[in-house]
Amino acid sequence: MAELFQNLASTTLSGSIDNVITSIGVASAMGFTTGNFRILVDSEIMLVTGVSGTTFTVVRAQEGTSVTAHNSGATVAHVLTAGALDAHDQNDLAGYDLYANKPAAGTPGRIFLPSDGLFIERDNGSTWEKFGPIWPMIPPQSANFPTWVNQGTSTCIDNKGAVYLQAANSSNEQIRARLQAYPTPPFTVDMAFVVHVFPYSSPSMTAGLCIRDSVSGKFQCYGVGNTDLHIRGYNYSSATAASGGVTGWPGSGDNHQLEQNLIWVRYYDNGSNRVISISADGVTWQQMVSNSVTDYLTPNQIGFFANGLAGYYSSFPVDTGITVLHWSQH
Amino acid sequence: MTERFSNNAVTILSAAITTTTATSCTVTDATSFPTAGTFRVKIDAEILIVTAVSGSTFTITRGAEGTTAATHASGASVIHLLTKGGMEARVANRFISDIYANKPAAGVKGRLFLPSDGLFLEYDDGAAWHQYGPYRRLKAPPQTGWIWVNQGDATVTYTGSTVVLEEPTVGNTSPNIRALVRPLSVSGATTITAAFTWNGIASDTPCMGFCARDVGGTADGHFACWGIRIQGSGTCWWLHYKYYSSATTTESVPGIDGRQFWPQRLCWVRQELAGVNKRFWWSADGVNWIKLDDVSMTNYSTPSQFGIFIDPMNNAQKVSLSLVHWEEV
Repeated sequence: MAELFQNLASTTLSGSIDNVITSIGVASAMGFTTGNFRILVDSEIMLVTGVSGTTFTVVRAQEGTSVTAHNSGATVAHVLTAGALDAHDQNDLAGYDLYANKPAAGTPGRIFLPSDGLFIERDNGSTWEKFGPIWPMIPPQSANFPTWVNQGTSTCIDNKGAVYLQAANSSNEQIRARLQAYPTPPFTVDMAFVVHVFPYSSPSMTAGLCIRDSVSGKFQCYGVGNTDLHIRGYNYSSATAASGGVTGWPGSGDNHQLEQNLIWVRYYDNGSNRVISISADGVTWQQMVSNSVTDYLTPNQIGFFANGLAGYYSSFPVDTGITVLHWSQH
Repeated sequence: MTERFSNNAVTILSAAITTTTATSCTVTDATSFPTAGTFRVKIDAEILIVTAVSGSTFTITRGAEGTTAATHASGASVIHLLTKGGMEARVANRFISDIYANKPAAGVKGRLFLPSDGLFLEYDDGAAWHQYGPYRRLKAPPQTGWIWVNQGDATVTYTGSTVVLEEPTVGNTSPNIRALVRPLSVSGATTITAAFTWNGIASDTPCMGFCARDVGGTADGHFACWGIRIQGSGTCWWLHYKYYSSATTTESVPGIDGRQFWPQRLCWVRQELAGVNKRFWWSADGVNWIKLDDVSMTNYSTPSQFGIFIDPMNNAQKVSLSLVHWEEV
């Protein structure tokens, strides 16, 4: 509950209290607030968590003070304490919780950060004003994807909290990937990324999420590809050889062109099927395919990639980059 | 440093403060005072900021909040106070902005961190930082000091936080760069970073973007332009590198004059002036950059003015660009 303050609130105990009781009677509750607030009785600070008539529900001996008995008639003064300031600043200025638990508006100046998206909100005193879109993200760290495949002169760095992979350009298909061990199903991975690319050549895939079988060297890739920058799902028999669209993917590997800065891919392995979905907002997902977990390959690695071919033009070769902003396994 | 408070913290000086410049003092009992961060005390009529506590010795900043540093006798009261400055410092430390590398460790619940160079706004829940993104600090472009080249009937609107360039006439048939340029504002700057977005865009090459102009250099009046357009059919986007020998005359660029690109909510571009070379970079997120070219400073032209342009040639609709970020470093 929010920490509240009120000026000049003071009363007296209507009866004596021992050093255990958590419900105390006061002569008058007039002038006091009803939320969490602090009172000083003799030398003991108490936290009041509820007011009913002239009865306060209290938590005793706050902020390092000692619990003691108090006489009837002792002064009960509402005080601004260090603990109240801390509680106020820590809990009441910037709230962080599920969207469904957002408190009612009415305290101007507060900020609310939903742990499940899609807006930062500010309480203007009567309604919450939304600012967005902005997403709660779990940025990956490069160390969590320890394995390079086909690095060449590519780089992968942690930059400002997110991972950036820059694939060295090449005149051939070059899936350059960073991978981790494939988790035990069932699991879901949500990934959000932006692509830095000047497509000139026609790579089957440009950048995105991939799974791999380290025994056969096969990849299956989901993300964007082709010169027209389609959302795609594509198989690669190796890092340098595309071999066709993923089984059942709409348009034999192509889906629509998604003109988004931020691209969301969801990979779900339920133990028997792989379900791949795409989203433009990270909230509403569009299922692309649901295939057997053994479709094309049996993966033992998962990660992200960019293709060195994407930005290649003979007299003007440019690298292709992917910033992975979000990698959430659940 | 975090501003701290504690309740009922009162003691006395165990030794006199004999000068107005002393930076430490000793007290008889420091147990009820905060032990970390900074806090304020009042001795006689002077407010002091305590910046460190070691046993019963306080490290102090004198004469805070408009009070006058004075000498104080042994036995003078040392009272921990909630002051105006303390409250302000507490607020200032709550929502923090700094470079990402200086992000403090999590541990103060309710703080926000807004990196000046990063990708995420972060919330401290007392144990860990939680990221929200993508987020990028924008530096509003200057609202004065721009120079028109070939303005025609184009207009500019300075909104305070953006610069909006607009060509109202539809159906132009020849190249007409409407450019707003400026010399470097920051003396000795070696990189210019800009971000722009479009309110209306057309199909000719290029339609709008960043330009570098030669004024009195090796090719007076020439422009080198990095810009974007939509393809004629509107199904994809192109980035163009194009030379203009004047605002109305295009020249092809050897090697490259057009590439498809991934449309971005914001187009991030960067011109680097690296001694004998000039380089052009672009980014999809404003943080990670890809180098597009790296040529001699005098290649084609020697730029001394930089800015934005729109070229309304073959525009079937109004063409408009919003510059949302401009930074010279």
